[in-house]
Amino acid sequence: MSRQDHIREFAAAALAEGRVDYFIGWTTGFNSSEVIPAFVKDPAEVDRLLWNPLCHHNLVTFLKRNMPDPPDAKIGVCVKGCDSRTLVALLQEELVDKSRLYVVGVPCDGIVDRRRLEKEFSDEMVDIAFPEKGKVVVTTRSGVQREFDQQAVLLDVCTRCRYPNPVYADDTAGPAVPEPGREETEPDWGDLADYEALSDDEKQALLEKVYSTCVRCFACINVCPVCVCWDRCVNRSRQPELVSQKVEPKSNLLFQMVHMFHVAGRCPSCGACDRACPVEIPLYLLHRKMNKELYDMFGFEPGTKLGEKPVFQVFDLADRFGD
Amino acid sequence: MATKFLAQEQLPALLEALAQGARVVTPVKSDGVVQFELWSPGTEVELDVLLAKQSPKEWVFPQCETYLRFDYTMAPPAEGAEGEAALPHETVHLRTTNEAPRQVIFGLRPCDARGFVQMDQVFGGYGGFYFDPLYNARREATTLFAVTCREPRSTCFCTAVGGCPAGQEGVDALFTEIDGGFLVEVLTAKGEAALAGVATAGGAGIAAPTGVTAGAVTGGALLDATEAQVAQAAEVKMAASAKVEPPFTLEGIRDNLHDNFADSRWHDLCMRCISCGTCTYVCPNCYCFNINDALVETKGERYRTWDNCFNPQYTEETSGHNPRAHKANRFRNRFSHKFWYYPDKYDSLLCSGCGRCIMHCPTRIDIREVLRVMGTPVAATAEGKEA
Amino acid sequence: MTETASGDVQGKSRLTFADVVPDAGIPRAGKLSGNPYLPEVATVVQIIQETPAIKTFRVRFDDPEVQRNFSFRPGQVGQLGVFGVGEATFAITSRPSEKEFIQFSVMRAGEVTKAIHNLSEGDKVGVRAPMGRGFPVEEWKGKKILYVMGGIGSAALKATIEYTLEHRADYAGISILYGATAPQNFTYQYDIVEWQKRDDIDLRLTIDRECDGWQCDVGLVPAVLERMAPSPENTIAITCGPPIMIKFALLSFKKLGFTPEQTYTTLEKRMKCGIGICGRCNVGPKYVCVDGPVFSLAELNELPDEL
Repeated sequence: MSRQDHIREFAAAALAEGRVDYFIGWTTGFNSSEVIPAFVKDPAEVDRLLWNPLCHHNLVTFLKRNMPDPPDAKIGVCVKGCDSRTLVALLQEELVDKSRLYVVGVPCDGIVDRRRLEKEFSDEMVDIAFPEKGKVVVTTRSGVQREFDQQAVLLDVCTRCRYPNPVYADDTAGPAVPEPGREETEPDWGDLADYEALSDDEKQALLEKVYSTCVRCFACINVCPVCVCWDRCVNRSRQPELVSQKVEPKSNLLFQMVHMFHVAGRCPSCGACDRACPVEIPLYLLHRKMNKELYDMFGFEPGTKLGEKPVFQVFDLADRFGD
Repeated sequence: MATKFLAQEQLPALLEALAQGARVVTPVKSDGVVQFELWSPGTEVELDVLLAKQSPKEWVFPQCETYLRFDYTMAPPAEGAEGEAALPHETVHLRTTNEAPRQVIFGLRPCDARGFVQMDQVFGGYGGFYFDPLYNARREATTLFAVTCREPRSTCFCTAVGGCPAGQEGVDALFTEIDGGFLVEVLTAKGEAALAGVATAGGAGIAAPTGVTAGAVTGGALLDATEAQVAQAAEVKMAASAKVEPPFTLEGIRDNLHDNFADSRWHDLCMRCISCGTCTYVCPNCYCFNINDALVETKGERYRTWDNCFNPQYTEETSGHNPRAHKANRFRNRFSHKFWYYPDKYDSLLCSGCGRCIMHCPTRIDIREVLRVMGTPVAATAEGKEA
Repeated sequence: MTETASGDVQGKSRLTFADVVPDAGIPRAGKLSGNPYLPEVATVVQIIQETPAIKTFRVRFDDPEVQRNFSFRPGQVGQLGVFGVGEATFAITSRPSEKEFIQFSVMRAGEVTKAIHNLSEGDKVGVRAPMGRGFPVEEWKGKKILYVMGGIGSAALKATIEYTLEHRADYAGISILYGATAPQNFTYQYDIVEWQKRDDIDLRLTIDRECDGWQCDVGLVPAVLERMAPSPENTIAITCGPPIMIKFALLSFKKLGFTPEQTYTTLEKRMKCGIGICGRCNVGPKYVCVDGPVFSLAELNELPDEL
């Protein structure tokens, strides 16, 4: 039985038995090269749900305050490994009511970077298929078809994944994938090497350049599952005004710094923000850098243990910075 | 108006000639992302990718625009003043700013140009409402040279809203890619004026309209178009139009949006919406904005910035009451504004069918699906109404 | 719907710079300078503490010609702003016949109103006025006018009350029902004292609860209204006040037989530009800043239910 079948079975049962009011998973978008979140209410419609390497959305964001509709709905949700860590982060602070949740964990082999594929063509992609494991076939509107090796076109976050199996789930959609051996290995922060090699001035200049295109759409903040203040964000505050409403590089950078620092300790760098950004700002990199610092300072990996608290929510006299 | 031919390799020369009298803005690809940027000689114009990430609207309606500056100063008392009036008093000096540099936007699509025409109504006080000098100064200083869409996307629906891949609304000159270059159809006096004085080789140039001096521009070669070229362009246009499949008909949408106002299906449609501002900010004609003041000691400014009706605090009143506190209400407002409220007030739609909202929405909310569902009468079944 | 390239449909058209010139006679084309975003600088000449939370500000335009030429219809509003903080919309509460100043009554509530409350006499403010649609007081000649208001709602109706009192002979009757939570919370007490002296109007003041020394009505406004039982015959009913009071007053009007065409109120929304462009104060296709804030109940009934 495929993971997709497992998901459908779990969803159908939960809906039919009334354990959930609606079930959130993934389904095909406006064409078969797109996958979008699916909200299923009727057990007869679970065949809309699918599972494939395009299922990049972190669905935990739909559990935040003022997202559930109705507000007291019982919700079923699918989570990948990274998604489950954001859910654990929310549960650690009791920001989501566990009793109204039914979580289906989906072990994951990695998600394909659709934007990278998009840049391979000047024509529009209309179909992305996975005819056999490890292969991705893209077809464009004009009929051009190209095959890619799945490993070569994965999201960067997936090439360094340490938690491919959900750390929290009520049911799991199929067998676990091989664990990467977290006990023996350190996280791979190689993607930060180029950035870290820059001088302070170079970093400042790079960040200002990169954030100059920010349009303050709040897609990153709203799509982030741990950005729970999303509809009353301090970035919009007027009394007091902490971040200027002006859209200019310095204010945009501060806007992102606020986001980054406020999710520090709860963000597993799932990359949802990065994928949501309409102007393709490399947000993910900043969060990765933050997580590296957290790991180096505290040995802390956000959202991995339900019984833990996020690192900035606790104060331990034993914490030390360097020597 | 003239119909000319421009050879492919002459495009940079034409742009350089235009840049003598105005700044030139074109789609530019950088790190794989296409945006409208200032063009300078040597910059490659990106025309293979159909749509830039954002529309060019920010070049006429900037995302952030300071329109008023103020200084608080102490003014000396009037001569012969007595008592309290003899003390210096605080006063404030105002300065308005309204920069409107001459510019030519080259390489936008007909849907982008149409977006400007649609926004012209609200900013231009259509029907006797207020006239916005900030927008209109830039608008008048802008010339739009659009390029016909050769390969519309599956997300395009311009034909459903009264446009087309070779649409002329708002376009000062339409460039259509054919063998060897572009057919250039000069459509307005403004287009003529911008192209005036471009030297030609082997053909009659565009005569400058009376009162416009040709200027010292050289370069570029606008030849008279041959019949074959005109015919080929017509074929390209027809083929492109055929590729756009209208996903709905406009007829009845306005009335059905009105009748379906309280329908619960609005909730179903917006479940995956994350209430950000992406769709509004990439749209060629969404125009809602916010106004804020900034003051540092005694100097300050008042500026406006793009805002969007999905902002949870967009309509939040000081009392705390928010008419659109629920995401579904905000969701409903955007589509109703574009296809019902705006047409009622300004006799114009507020959508040109570019499909950017569909392409860039983080969860791919599809405006076509929304209009198919909510733009149909409540009683109609899925089978009964042809999408 | 039809669209044309020139934007010219059914005789309506867009304005251009050429249209927006002094004396153009286009009432909504904004300031004579053609920039409806540009405030006129004015000076605060008098501040009256009406109630603990409400102050009335009388301001004079610095430009004497602007002050001389300023006129407004009762019910119109203006944007009053503190440079560096922002602007907000307030009803103009001075008499339309007043030439020396214009007046706004401001309840302290948020960022802008707090800054306004911190002003002193002699301070500078920015004013963009008049804006919006006022009450159709000419249409109402020969009718009876019934004003029903509570708390700060009096500000929205003050200018209109003063206008109709000044032109008392044009109207068949004037009734005012004004309710406040307690005696000290009535605004315009200095004017109410003058109203009480008149014998050609029906003035009723009411407070929520009994209070020593209070000799007028006691009870919530809608209840007192129903006790008054005014006849809807040839009468226009106008109400303004806290949302809950408006809601019940409108129900009471309906019970008493007033038709939606006879009933008026004013709407309140978050506003920014005040000139119908920024897009945020809409209820359906109507913008409260330019199509309102005055609406008849008949007009409101046509709008989507999103108040």
